[in-house]
Amino acid sequence: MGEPVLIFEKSIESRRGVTVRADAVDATTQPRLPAALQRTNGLALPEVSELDVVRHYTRLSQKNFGIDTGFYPLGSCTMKYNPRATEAVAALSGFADVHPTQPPASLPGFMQVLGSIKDWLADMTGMDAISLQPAAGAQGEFAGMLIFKKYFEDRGENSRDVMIVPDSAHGTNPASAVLAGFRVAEVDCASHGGLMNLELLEGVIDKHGAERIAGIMLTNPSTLGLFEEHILEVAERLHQIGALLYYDGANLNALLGIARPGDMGFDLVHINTHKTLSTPHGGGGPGSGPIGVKAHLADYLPTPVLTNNGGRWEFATPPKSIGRMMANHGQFLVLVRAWAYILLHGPRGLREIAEYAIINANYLQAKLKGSYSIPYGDKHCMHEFVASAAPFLAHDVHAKDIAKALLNDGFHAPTMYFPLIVSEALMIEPTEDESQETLDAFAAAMQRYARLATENPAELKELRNLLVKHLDETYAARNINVRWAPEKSQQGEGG
Amino acid sequence: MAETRYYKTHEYIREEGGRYFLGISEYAQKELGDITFVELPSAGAEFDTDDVCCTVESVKAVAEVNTPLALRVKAVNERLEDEPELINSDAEGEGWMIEVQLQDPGSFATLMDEAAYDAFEK
Amino acid sequence: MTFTPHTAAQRADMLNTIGVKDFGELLGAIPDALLLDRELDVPGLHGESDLMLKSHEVLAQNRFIPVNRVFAGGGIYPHFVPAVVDAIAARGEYLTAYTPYQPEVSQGYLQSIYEYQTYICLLTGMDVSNASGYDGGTTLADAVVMAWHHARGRRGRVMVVPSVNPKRLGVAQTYGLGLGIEFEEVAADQLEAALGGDVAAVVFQYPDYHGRLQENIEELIAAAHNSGALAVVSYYPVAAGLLKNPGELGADIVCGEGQCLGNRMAFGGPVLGFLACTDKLIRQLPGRLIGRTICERRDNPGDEFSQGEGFVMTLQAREQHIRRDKAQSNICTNQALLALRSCIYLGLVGRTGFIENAKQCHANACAAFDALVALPGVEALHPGAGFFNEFTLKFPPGKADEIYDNALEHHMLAGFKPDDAEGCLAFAFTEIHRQTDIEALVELVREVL
Repeated sequence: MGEPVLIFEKSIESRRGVTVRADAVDATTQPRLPAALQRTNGLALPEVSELDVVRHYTRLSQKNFGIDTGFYPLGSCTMKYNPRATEAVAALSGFADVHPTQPPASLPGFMQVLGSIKDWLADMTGMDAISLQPAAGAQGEFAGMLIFKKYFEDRGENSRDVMIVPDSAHGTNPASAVLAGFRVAEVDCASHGGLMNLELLEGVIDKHGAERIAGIMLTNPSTLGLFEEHILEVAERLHQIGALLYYDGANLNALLGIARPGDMGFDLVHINTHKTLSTPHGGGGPGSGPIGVKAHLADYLPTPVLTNNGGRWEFATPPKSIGRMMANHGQFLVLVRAWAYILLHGPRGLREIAEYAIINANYLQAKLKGSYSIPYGDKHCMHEFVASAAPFLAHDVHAKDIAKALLNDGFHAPTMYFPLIVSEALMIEPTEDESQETLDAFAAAMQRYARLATENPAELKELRNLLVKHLDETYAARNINVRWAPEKSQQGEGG
Repeated sequence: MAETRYYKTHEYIREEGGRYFLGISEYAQKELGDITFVELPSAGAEFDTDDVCCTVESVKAVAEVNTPLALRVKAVNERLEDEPELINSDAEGEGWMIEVQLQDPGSFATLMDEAAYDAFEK
Repeated sequence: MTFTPHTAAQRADMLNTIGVKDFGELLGAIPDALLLDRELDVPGLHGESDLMLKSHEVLAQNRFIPVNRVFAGGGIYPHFVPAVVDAIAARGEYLTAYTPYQPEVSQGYLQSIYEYQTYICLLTGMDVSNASGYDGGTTLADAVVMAWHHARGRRGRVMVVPSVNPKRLGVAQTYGLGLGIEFEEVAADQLEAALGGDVAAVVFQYPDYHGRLQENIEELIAAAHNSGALAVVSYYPVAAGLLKNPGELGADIVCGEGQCLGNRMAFGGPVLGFLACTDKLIRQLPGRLIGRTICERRDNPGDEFSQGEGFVMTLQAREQHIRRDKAQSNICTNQALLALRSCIYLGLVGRTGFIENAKQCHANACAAFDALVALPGVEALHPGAGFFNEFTLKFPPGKADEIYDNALEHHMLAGFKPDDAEGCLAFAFTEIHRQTDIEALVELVREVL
């Protein structure tokens, strides 16, 4: 008991699972399959009963933590409650069982939904045009970078190859910039109160030359949970030298109904529906990363975009489109959930999201200030803040130990070791859906760990409740085992 | 009598009996953590100063190994394919990565000696 | 409705603990000019019932086509999704879980995805699969970029043997832009002559965009190898029930669309990109990878730990959160829940069911093909070519459009119109279609002709 048993290891030859069709096909002849390509391998798929499958995956689910299970204060992930009402809408056959080649003109209901989402996202972000194509935040970033690149090429400004990225940025930012062909200039904001400012900006402009700067990628609030106070001046200066601003929407939850990136001067934004609009994370996806642009970039949006041609809906390609990001129309059913989520909330509900996200984070920051180092804690935070476990290093206690202690006590750990600029970082984002009681329980646990870290580190590290620990990542990387393989005998000739 | 000299990005070249070996310093291996994989160039490859000649991967990071002085690769340390952890246990000895021929052997003296590297801000 | 649980008293109490009188004080860092002075322009609050009724109203405007009257493929297919898939995937421990960065509380997910990786290897004949990509288009892009990196940027051309789904190719072209990759279509019989030392990869689709099976694909792959290029195959895994897999034919990288394995058509998204490769390419493989490793386990809290095995995300040093600007790919979120669904599906249908489904798909396609080409003026786009469950037919001028439009009027999708073949319709069949459904299609086509 306890050793992982794979579904393949439960296989019993000739056992069958679900019956999809009662009238099994004889098909001893396969008239249109070239002889050279007909299968001769054994096809070692497992042979298990339906009940085997149900028990196997049900039991596995019980070894898994979800928002439904407990508190998930993962900074910059916005792990808020995933409403089941939106799931029920997305499950409706009318949404879920439609083929992507069905002409849009025959689907005015869908067009209405997509049109609405675009209008609402444009209003929420203060942008002029929206593409619903990108599959996730990272893809939205990549699309954004490609749009910037093409925009400059069209204007004959090929010298603009430098993308400015603060040192607190998420890894997808520099990765996306480089994928699109830019070089990255990292700015040390950490030593300057954690925020981007004109002085830092001038430094970069001086170093590379104004005509080399393509733009900047910023999250606002930053990954430190602080509002970028100097954003208006930064935006003005960048526009002055002909550069553009990209907004990473990871932290948009803090701004809903309060302020808009479009008004701050951003030329392009991406939204993470799986963060701000609570489409479920599903263990790592699917997400969706719609992008919004100001009018001067609208021609470059990914293809296809929806257009209304005298009352008839069609897909069209923007005149200077960067091309396709996905084979079909983006993460449609994810967007349907976002549509439903916005409808449930209404304007005041959306504003309340941001208000309580900010209240909850500040409440926790206030409660943890005494026991943790909070490098930028002299200010009010927005929807998240970064605590540091660095003071406990003297007792050989790391951020990782605090994280595991939380897991042991039934909480999920916060984001660890990010942003890179804070040592032993614990980035905490409670989200608006958590009650004061939950926050109090979390704060009490964290305070206890802080005490144990100095008084009794051994007890902190005991992890009494965890059933599995010390999963060896070094061993995994040195002894690569990323799949089960059948015994040679099972791979033989088959029918 | 072997002599090891260091480069600002934490590579070293060790001269031993007229042969030169390149690897990453003890400091570098500690920073990287458990090494899981090493990517080495082919024998005969040539690199200029500050070119990336190898890559070292650990559980938590990937580091590029820079060329301290223009060189040509004579041989690679084949043991690292199955035992990348040699870099952790003996970075400046058995964990050498490539044997090289320096384009200008005289330039070897321009690298930092042990004392200078110890004093070098890291 | 909203989901914030705070009472007015709690809000006041919390503001007090924070040390402010008024929520507005928490917005001090935001310049006044930026504070919105109006509500967002979205419809008013909806209760759950209001939402459901609105959804039905919206859907009532559509021309809904019952799944058994959808005869279109092109990467997304009307396969049947057994009830258990939805039931398990709806469990909150799967649905609401984050990426498994904390393995101690994610063993369930990690094992499921390890099993998914295994399934993809079994179906494609590859050694390694990642934990999923976005769709069949982006995974083709990933495959091409992998091949480019494998050649260390020294080979800048990619050859494409017709016919590859133009939408997937479009995505690959978008991704190839930054690397300067040049794509070139080369007919199969001209491939060997056209290959050169600057080709990073040759891309095949199997079965192809028109449903056709390239009989000599193994030789073409060998030709690619002889010139030092990698063979990338864009694949439809349901075919593994009856056909040799791309691994057996020599592929180096296999990508494609996994929607066909237990996922709904969903108007094209979310779907399931899969990407797999041979051992030697593992370090070029983008995306998440779940590995099996050693750990300490016990059955109950308080027991002694003993050595055991578990699962972790591995080779993370390849990924963006570590490599940042040196990363080969920027992928972060993937299609984990869809991968889980396909994993459940494959266990449910099992070896027997999977093969039976494939036989049904092929038999249905053959029956439809024979009936359709018997109609006046209808011919195969590729006469004599083999196919699995999809084929393309050429109709008399103007008739393809007429058939398609007529079918739509009658709540049927009579195939799709391939981008690269005028006057044609491509038809696909799955295990869902009954004889009566196929007859209805044939009857409609006959009437229009």
